[in-house]
Amino acid sequence: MKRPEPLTEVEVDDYVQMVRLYLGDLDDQTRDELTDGLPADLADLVADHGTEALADPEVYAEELRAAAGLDPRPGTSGTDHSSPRRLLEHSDALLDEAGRRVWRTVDSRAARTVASYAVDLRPMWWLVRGQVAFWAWQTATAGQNGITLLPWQRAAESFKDGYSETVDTVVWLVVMALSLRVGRMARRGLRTPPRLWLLAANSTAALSVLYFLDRLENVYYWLW
Amino acid sequence: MRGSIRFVDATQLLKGVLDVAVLAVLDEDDGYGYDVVRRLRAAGLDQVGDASVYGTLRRLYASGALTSYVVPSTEGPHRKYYGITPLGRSELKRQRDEWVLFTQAIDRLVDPDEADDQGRVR
Repeated sequence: MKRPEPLTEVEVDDYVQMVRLYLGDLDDQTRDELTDGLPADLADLVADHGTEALADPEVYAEELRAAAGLDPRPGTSGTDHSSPRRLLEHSDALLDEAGRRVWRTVDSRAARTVASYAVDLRPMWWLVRGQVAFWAWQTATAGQNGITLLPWQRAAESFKDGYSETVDTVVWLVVMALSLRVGRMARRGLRTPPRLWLLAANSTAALSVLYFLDRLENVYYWLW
Repeated sequence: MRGSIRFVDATQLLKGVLDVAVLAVLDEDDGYGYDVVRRLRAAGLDQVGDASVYGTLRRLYASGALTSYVVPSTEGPHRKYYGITPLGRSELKRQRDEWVLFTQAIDRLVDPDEADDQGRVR
């Protein structure tokens, strides 16, 4: 049998990552069982028919889980649209469709590679989001004074009455843990309304990063 | 509202019989996912989707009808092989019997003359 080129292997790996992304609502064990051995099988498929034979990863993931007897992904067309939650489910469907349209527009080898890296880097975003929440807390408890990367770097005089380095440290640990927890939950697929709240919170956090970085007292010390 | 006639859709038919087809293929010899797809297609099931086959393999494995083992490869990712278990064999026999009864019933309905002839030959 023809051995696939190394570049094809990368494409297959990226594709498997995308399929796993669409199986994100399943627990780790089920997802691993569904995709274990898939890279070798898809490498054979590509060797026989080329990368054109790789279907839309979302459609592929749906077919895989349907054949495995698993429920459709939350928010997809498999849900009951006659229930009172119809409006919320409709927003789920709209968000899904928007995602699909964006993906269809940008779908290419480069986009798949970027998307695959983005999936791997997601925990880093969860940490950044937690940090932004901490900076919001620091801003609320220190007025116009600067914010710091770590809780114990803050000058003693910048604390309002009742707040201290210990309180800051506890808050920092809690928001970081919460952000990681929410990230892990969202990876399994959320439905509205939590999905809409998270979208709003993520957008706010992403937009706030630059604002907070600008205010960070010792940013030069940490970056260089 | 006017009704419509649904013509025979091989893809829909396949969904109902994929379990027995996969079990029959693995009853001959163990195989990995894409190998099973190839053997099904070689048998004439051209429209079988590979994701449907992989999902079916995982489900049959979870139900105890199949066993699985990993074969490492020096050239690329490892292959996950599947083999049929005694439970899978008894399930295959049960589904085979059901399939024969079902097809005989449909044969009698859609082509009664041919079905009669075959019945006489038997």
